[in-house]
Amino acid sequence: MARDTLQYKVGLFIVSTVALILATAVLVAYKKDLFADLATYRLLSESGEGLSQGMPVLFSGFEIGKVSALELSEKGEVLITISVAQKHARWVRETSAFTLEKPLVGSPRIVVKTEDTGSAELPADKIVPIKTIDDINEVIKKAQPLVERIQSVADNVDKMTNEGSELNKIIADTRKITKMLSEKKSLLEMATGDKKGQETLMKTLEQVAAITATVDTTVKRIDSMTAKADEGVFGDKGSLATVNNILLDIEAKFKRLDALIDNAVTMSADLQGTTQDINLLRKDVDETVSSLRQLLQDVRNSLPFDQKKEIKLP
Amino acid sequence: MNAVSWIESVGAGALGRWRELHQLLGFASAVFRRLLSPSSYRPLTVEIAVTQIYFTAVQLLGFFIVVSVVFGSLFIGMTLFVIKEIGLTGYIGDFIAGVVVLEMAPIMTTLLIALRSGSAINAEMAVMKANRELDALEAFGVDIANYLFLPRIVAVMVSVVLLSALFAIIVTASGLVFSAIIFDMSFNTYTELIAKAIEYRYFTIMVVKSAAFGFFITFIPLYYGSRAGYQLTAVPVAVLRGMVNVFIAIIIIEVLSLVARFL
Repeated sequence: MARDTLQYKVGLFIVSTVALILATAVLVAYKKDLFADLATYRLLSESGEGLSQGMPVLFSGFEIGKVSALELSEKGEVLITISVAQKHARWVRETSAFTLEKPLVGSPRIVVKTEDTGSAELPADKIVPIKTIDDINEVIKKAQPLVERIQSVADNVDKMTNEGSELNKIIADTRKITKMLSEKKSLLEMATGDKKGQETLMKTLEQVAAITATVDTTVKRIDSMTAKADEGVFGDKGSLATVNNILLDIEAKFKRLDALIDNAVTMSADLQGTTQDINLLRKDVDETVSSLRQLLQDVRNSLPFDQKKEIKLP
Repeated sequence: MNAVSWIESVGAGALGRWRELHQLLGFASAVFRRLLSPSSYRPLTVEIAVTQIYFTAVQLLGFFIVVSVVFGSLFIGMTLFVIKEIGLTGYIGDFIAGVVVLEMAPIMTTLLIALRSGSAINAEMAVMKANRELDALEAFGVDIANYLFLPRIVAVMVSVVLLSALFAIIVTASGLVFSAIIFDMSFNTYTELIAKAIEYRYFTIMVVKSAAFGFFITFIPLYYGSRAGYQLTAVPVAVLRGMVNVFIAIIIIEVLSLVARFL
């Protein structure tokens, strides 16, 4: 059989596409646990509100089963039968808590929480009560105090705006003030109700203004004098500059004087040495003179010359 | 033109359209009944249907797969990115199953086939009418509905159903690649999410919807083509009227399917 015939190509297309579709369908069915053994558990709810057949049963965010049946009990409560794939049955224990969650976004689901996964498996005939968490109702509950406060604020606003309320009185008074202002009455006159007092105050204020002007002129003069004094003292040709120059000159002279003193000290030291030499020389001279005197005495003593002791008067 | 004659012209136009619609739906009903009757399928009918599948689906397959991969990848990539941005990662499966499998796959396939094969069938019929081939077949006692309409309609229906499924599979597979890149999601997690979101009725809805698309995007061009005038200038007019009505039919079917899905 030729493989490039039109019939062959069409047949190949149909067979391969159908096979692909079937394989996908089988994969989906397998993933949906269609071929898996199921374990069933029974739950009890006071109301069937939010419950539906086929609703997912989640454990840690993963779907492990579905609600397979819903029926009313003899007491009027809702009996929920959930089917869980046998491979996920280990998460459903006697200690498991079942909660019906109704989120704000998304469809309701039953959530299984198991604290102790080592506890005994939940018996199929045991009926476990289910809790309900309704996000919308929770939001309403949380919003209730806020609504009450808003209501209180609205009531207050209502009271404030009532006829005879403080706010209305304030508005009425404001109107009176505005009216008086429009009649060109001053605030002082409105406050004291005395026109003379206002005139006196006006005069006083005029005097204060005159004094202020005088003080202002004086201050300006002082400012001018201070500026001149500044120039005289701190200016380029001011006293301070002259004193600085003198000090610099004195400093230079002191330096020269230092040199002179150093020289004088040196000379003094030399002079001291010379003085010592003179002392020695004198000592030598003294000794020589003493020796000569001794010699002369000796000579006198040795020579027979009479010496007249009397002094003759002229 | 006075007011009375204007109202008369509006009424005449409305009546004319109603009669045309009535005639079209009546003829469609007759062809659909013939479609369901096993005696309508003779070897020649099957042979023509196989040939039409070849022209409609097999010849288009390469281009179709490329379009599916490119368009599907872009669409899935952008959408998954947005889903991540708004923090609805848990709804990937619902989105792909609900939007891609049920809505996008059939309509994209239908538009491609309507543009390619629907217009060709429309022109073919109009030319046969202009050449008086249809009159000749009728003169020889050939059942035009069985010989011309039925095999083409069946072929396009089969093609649209198969190609829609193929489109859905290709786009879902490209979603796997993007979910791995964007969400670092494993094959197992992705297939779990998709499988949990797909309901068994989705298969039925998709097949019925694709088949309905296939029926009307073939029947309407055949109908308007066979009603064309005998001049060659009537051919483009017949194609134009046929394709506009095909577009309207696609919209009506889409709306009806949405209503059926959510009611």
